Amino acid sequence: MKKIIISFTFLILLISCSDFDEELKFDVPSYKDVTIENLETPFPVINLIANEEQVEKMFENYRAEIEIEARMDLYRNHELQVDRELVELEIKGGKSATFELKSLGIKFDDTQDNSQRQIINPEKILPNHSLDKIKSFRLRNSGNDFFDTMLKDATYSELAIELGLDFEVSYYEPAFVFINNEFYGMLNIRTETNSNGISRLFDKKKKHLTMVKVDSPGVIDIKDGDEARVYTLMQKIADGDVAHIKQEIDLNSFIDYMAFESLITNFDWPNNNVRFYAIEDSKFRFVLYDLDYVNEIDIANHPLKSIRNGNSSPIIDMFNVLYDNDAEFKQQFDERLEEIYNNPKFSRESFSTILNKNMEYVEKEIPLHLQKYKEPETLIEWYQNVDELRADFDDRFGYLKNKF
Amino acid sequence: MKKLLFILFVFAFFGMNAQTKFNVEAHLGYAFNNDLYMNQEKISSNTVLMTQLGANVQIPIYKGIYGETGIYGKLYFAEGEVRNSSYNAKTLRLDIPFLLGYHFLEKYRISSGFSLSNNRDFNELNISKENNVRVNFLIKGGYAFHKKWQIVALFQRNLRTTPDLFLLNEPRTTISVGISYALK
Repeated sequence: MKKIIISFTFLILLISCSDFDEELKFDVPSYKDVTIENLETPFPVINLIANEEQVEKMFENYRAEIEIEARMDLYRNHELQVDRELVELEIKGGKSATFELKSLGIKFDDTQDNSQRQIINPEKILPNHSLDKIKSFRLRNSGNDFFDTMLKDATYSELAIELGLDFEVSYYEPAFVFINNEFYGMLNIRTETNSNGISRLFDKKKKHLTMVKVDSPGVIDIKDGDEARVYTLMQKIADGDVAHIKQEIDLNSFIDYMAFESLITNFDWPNNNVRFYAIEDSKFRFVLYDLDYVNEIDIANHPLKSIRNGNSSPIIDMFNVLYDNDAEFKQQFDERLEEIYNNPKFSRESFSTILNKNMEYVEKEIPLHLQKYKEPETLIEWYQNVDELRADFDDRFGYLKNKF
Repeated sequence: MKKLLFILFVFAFFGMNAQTKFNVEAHLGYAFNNDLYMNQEKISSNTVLMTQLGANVQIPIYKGIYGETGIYGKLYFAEGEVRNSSYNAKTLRLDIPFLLGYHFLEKYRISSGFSLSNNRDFNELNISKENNVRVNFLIKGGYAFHKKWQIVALFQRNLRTTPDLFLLNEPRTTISVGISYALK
């Protein structure tokens, strides 16, 4: 009898669930009750108004690259900044398009005066960039970081901005988004890294750009511009023609780009997530984006191993041609790698400062979003994920110490 | 499936027929972390009480030396604050100890070993994730004040590098005292 009672007690214990109750020190309305009018937030609030059937179809067929027409409102502190502006709306992203909260691409019918309308208002931009004009932007679900912090890509991009590196970046500001007046979630406003986005950074027309993308498994995709020039460059890389490559590539941009990505060891790169572009006949420069997998895998690797990771990509080939055959390039790259590592802004303290700033800006807003998506389920779990993001950088920084 | 395996284990365990001692045990204890930080802030009020209920079997090996294993349910009651959040957690863990012990002076025994316990709830165990299982270092002592009854004390310390999130509701170190009753 005793044995039966004890066994039964165990079973009851096992079946009963653990639970974790969290109480926040501030009020958070139910996401079901929240409206554009009653939402108190320092974030910009975007409302996308579109035909409901078309929206439903677009979400059901998220891989079909369906573009629908919509109208966009944008509020800051309840003041209407953008009023029923005509936009094209499209679901964006690879794997992250399968998530419940999907990234959205917004393309305006007319170029917008961002200096007046304040569509995106990042804290700091690089001195050679302008955000006065906006043609398109992304409402990003933070990609593969969606389940963790919603801060990762933006924080690493800000680190690159702080370091003043010689490549293009995507700027960031978090926002609350409604679709047809219904709360959709917290998404990150990001400036685009495609031809539309990059051309506006330099106040150029899209037609003046040649934009090349390298997608997994190292496949070239010429998005806009002079295809013949790109194919010639690819041929010269295959031929190992150092002189031609150096003539076509902005070496400072290439070195900074390769150095930074390899220092933060981006696992989803360089056979994927590479963009480079040229404005008219100028040299090709590089664009930093999609940093969701940095400092997560192979964090003990030497930066060179992050580049020469066994995958195939025109960028890896180009780097190898230059690094193995051009002593001047090799010296420049090695010196720059060390210079960036030794820059006081590439430090645990600097990264932590940026991360804390972003965390503090978001921490009272994100509970509304977590309430709806439950990824992560609690604010404490989100705090912990932020801590892990910080710890990953710390670990990588520690490993790098032994490499130099 | 996991629950079915567990049920089979429980019945197999209590169905054993050998020259061994069977005991049931109940513990009450305090669990704590040394310096738990989150977002660079020390967690100030992290109070965790623990109760443990289970059974064990002691198998004589040689003279006063014995091996001990068993099965326990551990329930942690935790509350605390992290930045803008205060929490209240109830966490159930299944624990399987493996100990080597020694009886001395008739009424005393001491043992040491390790235990395996789930670090996530059973419905959240995921082989693709880390931190599914904890390994705990154990030191256990007992004093028999009656033919069938013993007072026991147990020290448990998590040996694995477990993220702080899991340490909020189930801290790294637990000290408990309890009572043990010999079934056979």
